[in-house]
Amino acid sequence: MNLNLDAKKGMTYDAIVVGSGISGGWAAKELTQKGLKVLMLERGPDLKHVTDYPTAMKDPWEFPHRGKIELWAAEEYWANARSGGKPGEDQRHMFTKDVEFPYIEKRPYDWIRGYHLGGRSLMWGRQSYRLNERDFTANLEDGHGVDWPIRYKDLAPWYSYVERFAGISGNKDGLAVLPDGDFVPPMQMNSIELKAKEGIEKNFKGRHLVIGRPAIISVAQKVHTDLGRASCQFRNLCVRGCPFGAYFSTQSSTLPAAMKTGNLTIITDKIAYQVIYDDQKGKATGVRVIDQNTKQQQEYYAKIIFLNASTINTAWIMMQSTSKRFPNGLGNDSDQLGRNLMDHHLGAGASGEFEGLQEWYYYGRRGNGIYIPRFANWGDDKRKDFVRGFGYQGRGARQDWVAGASKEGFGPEFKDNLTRPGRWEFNIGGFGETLPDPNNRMQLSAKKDKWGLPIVEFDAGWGENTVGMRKAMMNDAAEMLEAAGLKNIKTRNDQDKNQGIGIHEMGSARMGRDPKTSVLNAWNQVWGAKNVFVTDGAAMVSSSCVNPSLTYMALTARAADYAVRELKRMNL
Amino acid sequence: MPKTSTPGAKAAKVGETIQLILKDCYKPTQQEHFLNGLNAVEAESQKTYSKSFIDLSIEQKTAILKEFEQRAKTEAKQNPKKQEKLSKDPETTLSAVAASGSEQTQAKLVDAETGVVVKDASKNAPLTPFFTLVKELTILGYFSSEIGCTQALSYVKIPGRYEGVVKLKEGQKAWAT
Repeated sequence: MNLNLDAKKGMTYDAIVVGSGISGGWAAKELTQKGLKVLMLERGPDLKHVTDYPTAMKDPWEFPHRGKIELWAAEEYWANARSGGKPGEDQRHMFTKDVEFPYIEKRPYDWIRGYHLGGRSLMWGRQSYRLNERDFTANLEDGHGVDWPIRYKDLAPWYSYVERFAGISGNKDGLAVLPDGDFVPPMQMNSIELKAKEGIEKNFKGRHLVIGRPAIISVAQKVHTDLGRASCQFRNLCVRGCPFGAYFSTQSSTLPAAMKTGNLTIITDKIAYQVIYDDQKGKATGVRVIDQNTKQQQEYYAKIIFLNASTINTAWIMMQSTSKRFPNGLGNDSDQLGRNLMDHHLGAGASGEFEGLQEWYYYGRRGNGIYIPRFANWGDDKRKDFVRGFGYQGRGARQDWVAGASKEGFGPEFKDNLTRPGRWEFNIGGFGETLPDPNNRMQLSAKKDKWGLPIVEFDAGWGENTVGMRKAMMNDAAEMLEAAGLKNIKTRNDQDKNQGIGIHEMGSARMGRDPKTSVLNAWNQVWGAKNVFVTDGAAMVSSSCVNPSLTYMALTARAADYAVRELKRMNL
Repeated sequence: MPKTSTPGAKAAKVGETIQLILKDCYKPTQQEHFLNGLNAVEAESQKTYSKSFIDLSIEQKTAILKEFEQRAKTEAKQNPKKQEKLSKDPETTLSAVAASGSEQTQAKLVDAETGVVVKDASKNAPLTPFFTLVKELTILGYFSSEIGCTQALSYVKIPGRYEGVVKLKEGQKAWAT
């Protein structure tokens, strides 16, 4: 009897954080720094900062296939293969081998994952933008989805808070559409980017080209060096893991901060699949896991639970968390759990060449590009074909040997020409907002994985609104490049990508004002299970068109602060 | 990629790289197409000069390769959907070079008029003509080799900083990555 009690005590913490990616890392950091004993559960293996970045310092010639993807890798990483070079030998160890973790596509869905400590914080795109004031009222304005239960002013101080710690490089551009943050110094633009900026801003009122805002410490501050992080070395090899800790990841940033408190326990290789809900108490008491290697079942207990397993897997856990009170999944009175999947649609844009500026070049490799904030359906720029808008990411560079394959000729002169910097090129691609639609959803299929857990089934698409938006993304790009003086402009509107390709899945357990139409309240608490918080992409009510991770960080820090205050008031 | 003021493809062991990439990264049908191309070059050499290609003079080799460059063009025209690849196509780009933090493009066939990418093009992609592929892989193999990066091009392993606007020096080489 006592033994059992002791055993249970050994499995009991103040808080459990499920997931160790961007938002899970933040939850662990905030909760431990506020004095809570925290257990972080990760379904994948451990991945150590620096020592587990095996390719980080390799030179191009050390990769036998030189960036080409082996046939076997394309097959085993079949979902990743839809998203560029991820199955390549330089980086595939960071991505999930899809054949081992299958999912079902009722409609095609690109689900790109990283099942290891740190999750996708190790391979994310690092672009970090605040949502703007109107992003929080967009649903209310045009009637798609439900209203956000919070406004920009509620999140603004938390944006500042997470920016200062994460280290976001950016310029204060003074644009309402892209609110400024607490930045470390901006990176520089190169000659063609400055030229494009001038041409676009002169010819189009309300359009701006700014330097991108990545979570990379261009110049490390004390808060960063205290954790062992160093300034960016401009190698542009971020996806392999940064041995300098220059970009924000769980490993470089939130984990060392949480470990310093002495309050964090990390257990890897445990697949959390269920939140234990006590019908009598009306709240959650713990989490059920299965060991991915031994398949052993285990329960862990805590006063509060943060679900940060990623948009899809958080909903997957909640769907499996059935009880008398919640027969359809935790917090799912509204039937909105797993619905309203959103992403950013991309692959529409334009590129061009520039004939001048031949005397200018650049030094270093910048893991960042330029950004053109949304202008469509903003201010006076009203569009008939679609609601909401899109931003562009892009970059300029001088052509190099890569362009050689499409040039005519061969031999000594051809070779020597390729050793010189070629013409300037400039390329932009849109990132478009998608609308919350309950018909875009994921469910538990009847099929089971090797642990006997239900396999996710996707039934989601882009939606009608993206059709007109994509034409505008392509045509507006061409029009701006032309105005900037670029030639040989090539446009594209890539139709072969599925929802998920933006790797910005959002919305599967949305926040809201009403438990009848949403899963979470304004503090990211699950309706009907107030000691369970969901602060990853699942919580998103609308998608905006900007990269979402910074918002997950801010939501997490805000919710953690609230959770600890409520815990102290004995409200949880 | 002959030897010029810098070593050529042979010194950079590009042949070995191409063999490995062909074996591991291309389907058997494409491998066969490539081998047929190699055999056709040899046959053409025997037919025209009664010599093996390897024993030809530079001028003769150039003439034959020009012929195969033409054939590749003709072959590509017979596959009207096949367009030239985007310059940032990671299939032809070291992933280290591909734009990061920006949209990534992927191997794709683009309809030139609409800009629309042909759906599922990769599944039934026409075979790449011999000359086109040998050229692409030679360029890749050479410029990603140690010789290519550090002698033909300029390679800085750890730049340490980024400067966006730098005056190009007389004779300055392109960055390797």
